[in-house]
Amino acid sequence: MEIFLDPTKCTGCKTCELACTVEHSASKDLYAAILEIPRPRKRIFVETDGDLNFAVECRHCQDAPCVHACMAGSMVQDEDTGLIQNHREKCVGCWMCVMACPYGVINRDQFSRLAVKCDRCPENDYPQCVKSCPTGALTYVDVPAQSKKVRQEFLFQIRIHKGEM
Amino acid sequence: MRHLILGNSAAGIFAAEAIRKHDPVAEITILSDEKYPVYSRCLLTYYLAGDCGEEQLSIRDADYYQKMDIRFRPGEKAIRIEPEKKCVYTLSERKYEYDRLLIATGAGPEVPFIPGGACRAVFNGLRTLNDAKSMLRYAQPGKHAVILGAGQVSLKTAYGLRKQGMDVTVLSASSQIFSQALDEYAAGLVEGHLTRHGIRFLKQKDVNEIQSFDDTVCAVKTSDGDVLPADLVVIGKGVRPNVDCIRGSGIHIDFGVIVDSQLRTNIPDIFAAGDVIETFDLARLCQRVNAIWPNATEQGRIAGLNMLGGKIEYRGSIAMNSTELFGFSAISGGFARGEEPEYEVRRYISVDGSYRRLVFKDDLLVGYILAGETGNAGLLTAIIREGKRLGNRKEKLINSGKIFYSLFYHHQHPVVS
Amino acid sequence: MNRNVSIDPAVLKMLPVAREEGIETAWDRHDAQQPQCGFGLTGLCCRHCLQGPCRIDPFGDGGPQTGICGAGPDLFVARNLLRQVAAGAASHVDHAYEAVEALLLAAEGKAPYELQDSKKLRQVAGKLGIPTEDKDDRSLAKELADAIFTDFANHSGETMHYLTATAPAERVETWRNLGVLPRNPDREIRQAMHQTSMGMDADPVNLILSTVRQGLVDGYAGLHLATDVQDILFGTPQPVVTEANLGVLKEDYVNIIVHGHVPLLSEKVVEWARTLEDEAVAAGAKGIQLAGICCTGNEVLMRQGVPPATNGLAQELAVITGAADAVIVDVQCIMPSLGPVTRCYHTALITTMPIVKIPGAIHVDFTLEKADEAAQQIIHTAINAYKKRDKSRVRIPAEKTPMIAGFSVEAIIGALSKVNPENPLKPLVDNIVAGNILGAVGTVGCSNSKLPHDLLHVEMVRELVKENVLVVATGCSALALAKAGFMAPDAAERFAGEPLKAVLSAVGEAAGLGCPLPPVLHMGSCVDNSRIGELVYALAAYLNVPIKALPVVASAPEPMHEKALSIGTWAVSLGLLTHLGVVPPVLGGPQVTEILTSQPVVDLLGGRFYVESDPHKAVGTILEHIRAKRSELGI
Ligand SMILES: Cc1cc2nc3c(=O)[nH]c(=O)nc-3n(C[C@H](O)[C@H](O)[C@H](O)COP(=O)(O)OP(=O)(O)OC[C@H]3O[C@@H](n4cnc5c(N)ncnc54)[C@H](O)[C@@H]3O)c2cc1C
Ligand code: SF4
Repeated sequence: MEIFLDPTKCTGCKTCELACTVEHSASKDLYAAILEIPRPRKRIFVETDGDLNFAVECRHCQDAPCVHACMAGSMVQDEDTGLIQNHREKCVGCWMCVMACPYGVINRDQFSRLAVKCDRCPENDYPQCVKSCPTGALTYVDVPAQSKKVRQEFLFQIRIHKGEM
Repeated sequence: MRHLILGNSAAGIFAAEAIRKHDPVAEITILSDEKYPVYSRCLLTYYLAGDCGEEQLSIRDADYYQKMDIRFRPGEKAIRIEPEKKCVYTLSERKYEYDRLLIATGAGPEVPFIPGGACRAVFNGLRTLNDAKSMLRYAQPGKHAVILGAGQVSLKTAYGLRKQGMDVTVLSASSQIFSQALDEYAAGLVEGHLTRHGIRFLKQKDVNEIQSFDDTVCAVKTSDGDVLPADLVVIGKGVRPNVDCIRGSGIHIDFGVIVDSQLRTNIPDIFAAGDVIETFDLARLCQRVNAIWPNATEQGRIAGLNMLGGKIEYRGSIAMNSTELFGFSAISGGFARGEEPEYEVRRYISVDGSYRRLVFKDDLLVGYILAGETGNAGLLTAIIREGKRLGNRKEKLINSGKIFYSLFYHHQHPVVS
Repeated sequence: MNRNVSIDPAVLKMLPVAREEGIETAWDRHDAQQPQCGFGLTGLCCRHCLQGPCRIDPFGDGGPQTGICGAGPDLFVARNLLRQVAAGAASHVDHAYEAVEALLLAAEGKAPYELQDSKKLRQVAGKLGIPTEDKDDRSLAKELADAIFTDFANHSGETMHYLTATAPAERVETWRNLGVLPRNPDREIRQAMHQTSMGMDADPVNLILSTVRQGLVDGYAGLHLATDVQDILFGTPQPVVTEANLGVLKEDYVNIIVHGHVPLLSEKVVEWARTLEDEAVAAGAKGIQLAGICCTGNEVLMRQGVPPATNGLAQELAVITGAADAVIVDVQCIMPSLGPVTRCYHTALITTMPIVKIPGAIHVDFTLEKADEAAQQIIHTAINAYKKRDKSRVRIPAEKTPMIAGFSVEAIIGALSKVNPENPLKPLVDNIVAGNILGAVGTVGCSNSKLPHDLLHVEMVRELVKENVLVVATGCSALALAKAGFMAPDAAERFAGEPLKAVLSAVGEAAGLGCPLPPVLHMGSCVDNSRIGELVYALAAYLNVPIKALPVVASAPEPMHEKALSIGTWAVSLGLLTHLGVVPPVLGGPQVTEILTSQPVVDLLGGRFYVESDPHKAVGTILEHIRAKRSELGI
């Protein structure tokens, strides 16, 4: 399963950011989470280039640059799921992964000195960002169904849209 | 197939893992001249500071070698390689045969000659866990530490000792600290922050002599005659590749080991990776040793794959640096200083005092520095590494207060295997 | 829709019908809205100028901490809250204003309304200092209307007269010291809009004080005023017996549902439905069955005994019974969805007010002068719609619960005076002192899709009356409790704690009700919260203590409308602990939240807001508060 974003549907409402933060809080409740110390941190980032909006989160790369960069051995690829996970008990907050991540999707929890990133909501059956998206811009899709070709076509369309091709 | 790896650190371990991932039965042997299972030397300063314990230094589980079916030989220092016989000899006079050999012996401290430097409380850098452990014995609260050099490891060491309650003075030969990675402004921010946390800096000063008596140092005499009291001295004058055991083997060495784009040395079946090698610097466009952890791991992985017969190209490295001291973060990448006339430098200071420096060559980003707010640094790293021409996005990059993913979303999405 | 949507069995029966018919209800739309925007939920979204919307990151995670203009989180929240409370106050004041207009036109003989309650007319005129002797009702009513309008034309800095004439002096002094006394209600609402526009007040505390002022505008230019005038026009309620819930609709009758808030039209509809019943019979029906929803329903329930069909959140389901021939709406709490839902049936949706039009509805222009004509037209439209009713789609659930309503203060005093004619409050106070009545809680307000429908109203009250707390209720809360049987003749028997039951039986018997008083007294519509106010003033005066000393708590268990916030603000400013079962959008402002819910506001006003969505925890805190107040009183 992969998370996909259709930027043409992203309104930039940041609902996913809040849903993500709440999911990664101790209480998992918005009203309580905003009062928590340490403050829970988001792992998805809504940005805009003025034209299209983007909600971006960890791509769980193969040969992930963050895993290569992690000098504490805390950022590792999970053997079973293939997901890149940061193990908080090992992380020292050196931000090497922040320096390396080509998508800029690792957040710095300065209070706890922890790198935080999308973990695909292991305590939940479904990524909360996708679940929260009010426009369906974010989707959680079975990858075999979404062939590589479809994916490339998708990227191609965005680039056309952006006038880059 | 017998794979022999000299070095039990970033490059060696990532190579072994790449081999094991694709070949479950290959024989993998790792030699290390240290006695510890793999640990991160980058964390030594955190250990020194008391931020983490010894168990947190290890980057793999206790049963790692067993689970990975790796023959790990601690305390085995390679001293000679005989390529014709395809074997390596160690100080303990053992012989290790190989079909493929990886040299991942890393680097060690540069040792300048300083009169009086031969004392136990004078440390030639901080490179190993043993160094850190013995240094801690001298790190008493209220005592004086003098650090000669103001590079990254020196500053991190200063941080560690300061956190132990020592009175820390850093001597910098140049007018600016951390000059390998930062420009004057960013270095000033770091220096200011460290000063506020009680570290003293003396710049444009070098050491003339260390006055010592047996195991105790008394003072460090500077180039302009000042005498600094000292109970612990750390010499941090950079590192050089560990190539002693290679000499005489016929493997080409310049400053570091010379490798081709597939990380092969000039001798068949011998590969090299990590701090010990020179690689092509993608930002400076020249050969260079970029002795940092991410480069060592990436090279280790590629070397491992190529030892299995792969033909994976290593495009080259860039210098990168992330330093976090007392909560202040600075990250730089590529040719961050780039002061020569052919480079265009764009600087930006945001309202929260964070600093950003971008170095361009035409519409290529070749270097950057972020200090304070350093989020999204990796986007810049990726642009430099990919050598992508920015075109009109260059101005967007310069003018936007934040570094936006969306400016660069053209990165290939990861291929799911 | 897997969540617990409602505890009302009629609702639970009707929702599958809606499903079957493919009709979307508020519950479906609630689910479709999930998750709701966190910036909105915490009050951290500002749209007060066109630079916005600006949002403040409640987690301080790299996101902005101020809007573009520099407004911080507390300012966002305080400005938004003041606007909401002002909107709530505006609704009630507009309502009351229309009633006063009707009073004036009736007095002048220009509108077909009688002055039903001469006694109340004289009492209200009296409190405003208008001499009442030797005046006929009409001229006194005109004088009264003029006097009231003077408040709306008050161009001085003087406090509005209706407030000082109505509120206890101790409160007026407290409010004066805080500088929150309203002058001209219209001006205060206008000023709140101004104060909260871009580039105005940047002081959250000052904004909160203005919010308190809006609460007073609501209380005295809205609630009290509307109740008083409506009582004069239509009579002060006396106990009536009827039934509640969708089962009151009748298969072989022309079912006419009045929905909204203002009785000016619905009273006329009731009147003409009775007059024109023959026409319904001629059309093949057995007669006309009237039913109410929301507060217009409460108004005609209290005075005419019209049975309530259901409360706010379930309004669509009344249509989905397939038996509603006409739904007549006036103002407030009318879901726009009634347009599309009624179009799925033969039901005539009839809008009547110039500021409430719904595409697809039949609009009958209601004016005070032509009220009779409008009401007749409406009845005719309903009878015509009945003729088109598809009998095969009629699915009226059987649920209906007997209930007693009509407990105006006058009615309560009336009942008590049967026990003690000289000093009617004495038996009440004696029983409070004796602990037979532990205290009193007013449950008021709406139903809210965020909570299981009716659950908080019912669960809280179930525990409260068991603990011998007397409950008075208004609005949709009262309707929820009626449906659940808390106002039934056997309610005291079923729900009240023993000592309370004994008191209720004694009073019920003395008053000749033929049954115990119910442990929950229906005091009317939402504007009739003024009646709860009157009761509380009377108790405080009797005991000679300020209101804040009484073992009395206000609760809006399921608040939905902005009006609930303004009523709540008024309750807090009276000095009452005021519970809300739904979190209002203020938590993003820590300072504002702190001020509204803890010691600062207690020090200033005596009351505070208390937010808790768990009924049992809420009751725990309420009982604790009541017991603390009792022990402070030494009882
Ligand atoms: C204190 C400190 C802080 C650092 N901080 C950072 C940082 O923040 N970020 C960053 O990117 N980099 C940092 N570095 C640099 C980083 O540690 C190195 O780039 C990285 O460890 C290189 O890995 P490597 O495998 O090439 O070599 P090394 O880590 O040097 O390991 C070499 C291995 O070879 C073994 N070895 C050496 N000689 C022999 C021999 N003759 N026979 C057998 N075995 C031998 C050693 O025992 C060791 O196992 C830091 C280094 C130090 C010392
Ligand atoms: S008033 Fe201020 S906070 Fe509100 S939208 Fe305008 S700029 Fe943003």
